[in-house]
Amino acid sequence: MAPKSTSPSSVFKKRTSPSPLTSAASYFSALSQVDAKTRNAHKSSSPTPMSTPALSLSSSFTNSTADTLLTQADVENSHGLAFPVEPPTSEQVHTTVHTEFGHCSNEAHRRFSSHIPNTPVLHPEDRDPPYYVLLSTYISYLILIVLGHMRDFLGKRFRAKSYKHLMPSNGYAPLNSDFDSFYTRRLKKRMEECFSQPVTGVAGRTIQILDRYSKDFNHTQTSLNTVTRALNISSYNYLGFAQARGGCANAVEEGMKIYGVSTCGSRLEGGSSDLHTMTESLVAKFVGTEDALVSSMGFATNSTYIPALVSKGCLVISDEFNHASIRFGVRSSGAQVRMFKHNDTNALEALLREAISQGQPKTHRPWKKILVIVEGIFSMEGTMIDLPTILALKDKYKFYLFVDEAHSIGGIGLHGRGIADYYAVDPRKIDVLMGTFTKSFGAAGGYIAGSKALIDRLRIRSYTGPYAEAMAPPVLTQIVASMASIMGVDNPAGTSMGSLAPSSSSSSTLQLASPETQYHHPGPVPQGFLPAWITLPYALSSGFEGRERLRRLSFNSYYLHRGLDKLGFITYGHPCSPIVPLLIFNPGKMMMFHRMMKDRQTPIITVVVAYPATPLITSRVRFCVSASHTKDDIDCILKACDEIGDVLDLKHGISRKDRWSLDEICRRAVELVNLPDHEN
Amino acid sequence: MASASSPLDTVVLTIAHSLSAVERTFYKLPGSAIIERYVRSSHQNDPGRTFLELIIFFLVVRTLLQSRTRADSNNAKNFIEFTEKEIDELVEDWVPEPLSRPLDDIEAAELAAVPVVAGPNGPHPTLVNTGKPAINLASLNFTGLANNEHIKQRALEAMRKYGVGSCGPTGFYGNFDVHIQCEKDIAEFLDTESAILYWQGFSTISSVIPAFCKRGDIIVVDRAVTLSIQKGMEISRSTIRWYDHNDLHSLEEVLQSVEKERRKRKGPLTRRFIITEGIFERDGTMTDLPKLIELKQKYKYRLILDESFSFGSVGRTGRGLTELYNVKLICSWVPVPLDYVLPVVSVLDLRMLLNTSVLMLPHMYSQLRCPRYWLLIIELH
Repeated sequence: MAPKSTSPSSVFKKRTSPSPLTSAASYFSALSQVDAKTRNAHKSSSPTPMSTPALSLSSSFTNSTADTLLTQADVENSHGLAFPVEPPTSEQVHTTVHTEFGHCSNEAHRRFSSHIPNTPVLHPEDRDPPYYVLLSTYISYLILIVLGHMRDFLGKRFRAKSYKHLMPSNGYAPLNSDFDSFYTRRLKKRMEECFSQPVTGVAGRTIQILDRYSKDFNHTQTSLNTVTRALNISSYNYLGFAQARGGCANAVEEGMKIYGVSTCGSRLEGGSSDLHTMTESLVAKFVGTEDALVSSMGFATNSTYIPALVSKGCLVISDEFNHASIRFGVRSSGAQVRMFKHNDTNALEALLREAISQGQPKTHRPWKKILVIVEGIFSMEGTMIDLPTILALKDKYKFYLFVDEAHSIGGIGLHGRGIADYYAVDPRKIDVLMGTFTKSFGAAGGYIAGSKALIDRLRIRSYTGPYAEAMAPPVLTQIVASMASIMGVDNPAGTSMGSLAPSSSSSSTLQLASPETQYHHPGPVPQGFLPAWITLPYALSSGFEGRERLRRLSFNSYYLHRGLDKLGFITYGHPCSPIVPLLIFNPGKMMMFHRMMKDRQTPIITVVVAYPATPLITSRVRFCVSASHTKDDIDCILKACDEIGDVLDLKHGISRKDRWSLDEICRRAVELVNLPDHEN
Repeated sequence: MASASSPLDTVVLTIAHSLSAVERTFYKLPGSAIIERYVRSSHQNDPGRTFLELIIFFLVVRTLLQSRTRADSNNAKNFIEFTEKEIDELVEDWVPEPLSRPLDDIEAAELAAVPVVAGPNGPHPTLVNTGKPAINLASLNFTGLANNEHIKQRALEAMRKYGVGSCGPTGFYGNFDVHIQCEKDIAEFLDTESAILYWQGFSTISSVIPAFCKRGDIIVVDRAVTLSIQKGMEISRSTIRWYDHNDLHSLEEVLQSVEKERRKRKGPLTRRFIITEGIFERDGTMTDLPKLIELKQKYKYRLILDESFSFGSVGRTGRGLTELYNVKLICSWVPVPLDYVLPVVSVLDLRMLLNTSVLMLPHMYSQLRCPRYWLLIIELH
């Protein structure tokens, strides 16, 4: 593989390690002091002056001022992540830390996220790579598998000591059979450095990675005791609420002082608090359903509530790329499962016709119920479901619809209310709406929203109620605060809300709304829905910042997606989705891509995924765009991808004459983002 | 004769000509020599061999063309052909059951009676339902560390450094240094080689069991184990044998019968596990750990011990059953002791550990399905 990049020097340039610093502690302290300095310089007019340094450090850290600030600032700036490229002017007031949530005041770098009514739903076609790529990918896997089996075969005979854990010994069968663990040992192990990277600090716009290396071919990783700040395009931080500073974090502190860190029990057995009840009604209001419940773990929300919805004699129709938690839940429910081709409503309809007409296998009795489970945005594909068509099918075939909004809630839609908001349909037409708080809200756990009868039944019947511990109060507070700042708080005093809703429909009209009526945005949340002790700063409570975040996320998603397309890469999914998969195919290139991104002068950390999370052939790198990124950050990522893509031969997308140069993309970004969906 | 044969000749000639044209084109194609050599060597003047090759070829084509979501009923004998109109009628006629039955009066009263605490939970919380203070005998606050100011302070410091959410699973940048440190602390506290944190107690054991117990493995389990263990076993698809609640004689009988069966079948050696709880959630009985370990070693089983309720509540310093009975779970002669010890559903709201040898750890991480999510700093010492 000969590097043929136009500027190979920058691709391969090893980043300047912060070696002038004696330790991570002095690095931290320098960083925080520099941050504090810029804040004082630029944001003296900030309404909420922060006395604490940008990165929470114990006082012992901040005391070490051995190095001069000036040189620290130079080192800090070398990776270009600490300060915005364009310094803010005196009118621009930023209340966030740039490393957590990027400063961007350019109103052009915003976009609304919604489907234009009465236009066909966009189905981006999957581009196939040239045959030689497919062939070399298959051959790569073949070589890996053959080599692995040969090593196993020989190793067990000549180096029995290191294969002890795979062989029966002393009457015990091996804990992992060599066949089951083959993939992990022989394929994943080769690229172990891409996974489980230890990190520290806030998983915001940037993240600090704890440097490590392996001395023994990835069997163990050795820590280097140094820290590198990298641009984070991998965390599920869609709206940028992963922050240790700001209104939400202050609210969490307040909540933790009152409620402590645990409610000591499960929901039905003494662990319920008024904060849980309040959060649930707020979630119901946010999603636009009658009622909602929260569960302390996102994975468990699917795996423990689906068995309470369906049982033996029911049929679950599931998209082939549904998440493991859904499969886990369906498998333990005892219902029959059928899968349909990813995101293909025609296949779904054919399957429905067959299932209903044939009935249950052998007995041909009619199914008790049919539950169709899809994801709003698919976590590995970035594809978006065609909700209007599925709802039309639902009217005809009378199935129940379960939408997993783990990645779409908060991330898309004009008001951030997920897939229903994006298509402007009434969320009550969907029977079960599930989602998680891990992604857009910077918290943890999941929710299920639906009709009151359904939710009450789940509260009593699901085994999460009596057995699983209730959600922790700090997490609840984070959910309440972030959700309220997306919705905006309805101020009874009548301060100007600047609501985006064309008709500011109050909650009472929503209650009366019949299913036929057009979708109405539920509007800002009344003050009564929030705990009395929560005080959000004006930027959050007015909903202004929440809307800014939504629009920035939408701009960033479109920009990265279309930018990569125009550079000639193969990407999957809807441009609106914050998940942007870039196809790599060859397994060997995955680790190369990962490492080349990480070793750049501005380190970028990426997530590479392969089989079994994706089909064998379509290994990919998955970018997760966030509202906290600025256009400069996306430019930086595009530049890195452009250079690495040339080296690794990844540009197999649109033909050469349709491609744009990097400069052109950066210059015409706004134009590119605002192209209508169907013209791109 | 001549007049009859001449048109036939023309036909034969034409065919011969076109065949040779095909042959010429074939040899012009790149790689045709390889195909030719293959066909020749496989044929070897035996039409049977070529016939076999053709069958294999068509089978491969058929498998490749088959739909990935093929249903069993499509191939089954009892698939009934319907016309489109009939299907429409059947669809029209089908009436599904409601997704959920509304609660009846008793269930509604049950739900309304669930205690909801106003403000922080503790020994004397105020209830929302009645508006009055109550004595709390329901919460799992064994050590009374709920609302401990020191823990709160440490949690606040952690929040100010890390924010609230980790925004990613362990594999993808959700592996924070505090997670690693906490795992080390817990392993040290329990004197085991390693530990892993889970985000929800309930999901821990139901993910851990299927990570190691596969189809064909044998699980011997107490009849009264908690629901999460039962769910984990269901998912694992292993062979499950029950023994009477907390009755180690019954356990021994079951172990003997399993051994007898295995000898009779002469099957391969499979993984065998005993799963039980330290203190049972259902009735508070305690397992006789030394005797259990004796049995486990005698019959060569691995022990998975759920210490949800005994960790932090028994033992001189709260290290659970191992400390109470003063036994060490690591047996030097077992290469991989998987002795799963401890979740706490009590005060600290996180945890569940899996103790295992260092050798296994990387494999385990990749096999455990649940990502770790988020954590507040806790002090165990």
